[in-house]
Amino acid sequence: MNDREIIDLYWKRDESAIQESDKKYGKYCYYIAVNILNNNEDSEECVNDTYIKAWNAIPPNKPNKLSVFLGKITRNNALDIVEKKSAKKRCENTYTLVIDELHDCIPSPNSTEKVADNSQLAEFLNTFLKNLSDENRIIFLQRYWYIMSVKEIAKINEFTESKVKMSLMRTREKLREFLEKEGVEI
Amino acid sequence: MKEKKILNALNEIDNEFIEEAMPIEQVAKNKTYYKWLAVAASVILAVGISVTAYHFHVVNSNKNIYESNKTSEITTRGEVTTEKKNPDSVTETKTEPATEFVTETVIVGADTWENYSIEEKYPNVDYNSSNYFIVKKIDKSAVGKKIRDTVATGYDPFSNEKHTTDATLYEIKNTSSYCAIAVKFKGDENYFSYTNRNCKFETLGELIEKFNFEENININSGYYKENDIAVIEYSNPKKSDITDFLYKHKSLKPIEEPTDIVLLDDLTFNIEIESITDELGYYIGIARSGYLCINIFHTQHLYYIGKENAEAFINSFTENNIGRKLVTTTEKADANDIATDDDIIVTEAFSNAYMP
Repeated sequence: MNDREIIDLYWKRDESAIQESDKKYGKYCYYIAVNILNNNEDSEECVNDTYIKAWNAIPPNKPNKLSVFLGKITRNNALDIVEKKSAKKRCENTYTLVIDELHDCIPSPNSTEKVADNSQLAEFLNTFLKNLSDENRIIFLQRYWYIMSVKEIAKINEFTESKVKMSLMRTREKLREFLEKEGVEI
Repeated sequence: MKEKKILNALNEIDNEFIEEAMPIEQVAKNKTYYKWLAVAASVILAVGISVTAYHFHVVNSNKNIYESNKTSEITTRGEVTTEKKNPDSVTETKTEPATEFVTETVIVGADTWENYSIEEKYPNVDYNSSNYFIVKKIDKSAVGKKIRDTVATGYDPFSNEKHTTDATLYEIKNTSSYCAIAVKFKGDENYFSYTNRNCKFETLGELIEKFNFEENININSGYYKENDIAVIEYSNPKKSDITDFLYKHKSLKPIEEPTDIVLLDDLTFNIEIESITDELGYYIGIARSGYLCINIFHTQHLYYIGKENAEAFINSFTENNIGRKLVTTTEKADANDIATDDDIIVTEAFSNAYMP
């Protein structure tokens, strides 16, 4: 079933929309969840929540790309779950390493800067990402959107791990410089 | 936390970027090809010779990693690259094929439940109201007395099916079952260590005792971060130097990670605990700011020992131990400018054991 047909099922309030979404994108959503949560049960619950939210969001939404629409919901859910669960313990999984690394992107304080809310920061990120090479953008998002390990990114793209690490380090630095230049405070 | 704001804001970026970065794995079908093997650290020795081995990977087709794939036979042929300084001190590189061929089987993507390994089927078991996570296969000689029989539950992430099997829990010798246990599954002759990632200890002393540092811990290497690009590596530091230091602070209670600073360890020791640590790396880290971190089972146990104590230990250790300096850079020219003849230059990669 193609995306338009699945979305039509949502609009008709036909519950097979959930089954079809799961059939087509269940593994994709699970992959996103398990990268963040590192746990089968939580990831399953996260994906189930995704369908509930999708059911409530469509209509009125009519996503152009159902995969990304569901992926974003799953990612948000997973980040919420990990926020609640790992408040006390700092575990050395990919998610916590990613949080550590993103510290490099925080712009230095400046008296003239403006505080960006989520949407504004996303717009800045869009501009920043547009100006990256395809390769560096893909590596950056695989690490910080898909929360993939360096090893996995290297394997999937047929790069060395050192190339991935160097690309990430330079891109984080460029992002910090970009945000400082734009006068953005987070 | 500002880092999480970036993470959350990334969720609102353009869909095309997310789609573009969707992980797709390159898979060869029915052809022999060469596989790229990443070298974590390439080292140019002080005498100017480096040896690195590469395998080439030829891509034949794309396949989404979420689809079920079969195993692939991969025959790889190595290449060996040597670097040598000629009499004019110019580095010459020579690459020639290696003489060995290696064939291995790679599982790409999902397979059927029956073919999953124990680690894939049952990554965790419940014991004593805690969830224990699998570490590795261990020798029977490390297994202690039986605790009890149980039923283990696993989930197939691709079919969403639940599976159960009988299993028996055992103690691991010289280790508290609060920290780790051994599990044997019905129909499998092996024993696997499982660890409790949610261990909590009243004091540092209790942590040391329950993990039995005295008998179980091995300290393989130490790393002192001299600056942003240079790390001093110490091989096989004296265990008692570190355990004595820890015992001095055994009455300390663990603390929450401070939110106003980012903790970066200045001196780190990679540790192994018999039967219950894997290759992911556990460590003891000391920061000049006064924090002691013991990272075991992917869980951080943090203590505040005071700036003075931390500085005293770091200074004493680095003054009394000889290490070798690893200078990290991507450009050989930069390395030559920065490093001295006695330094080891790590090019195009980060030092394998220390992650700044």
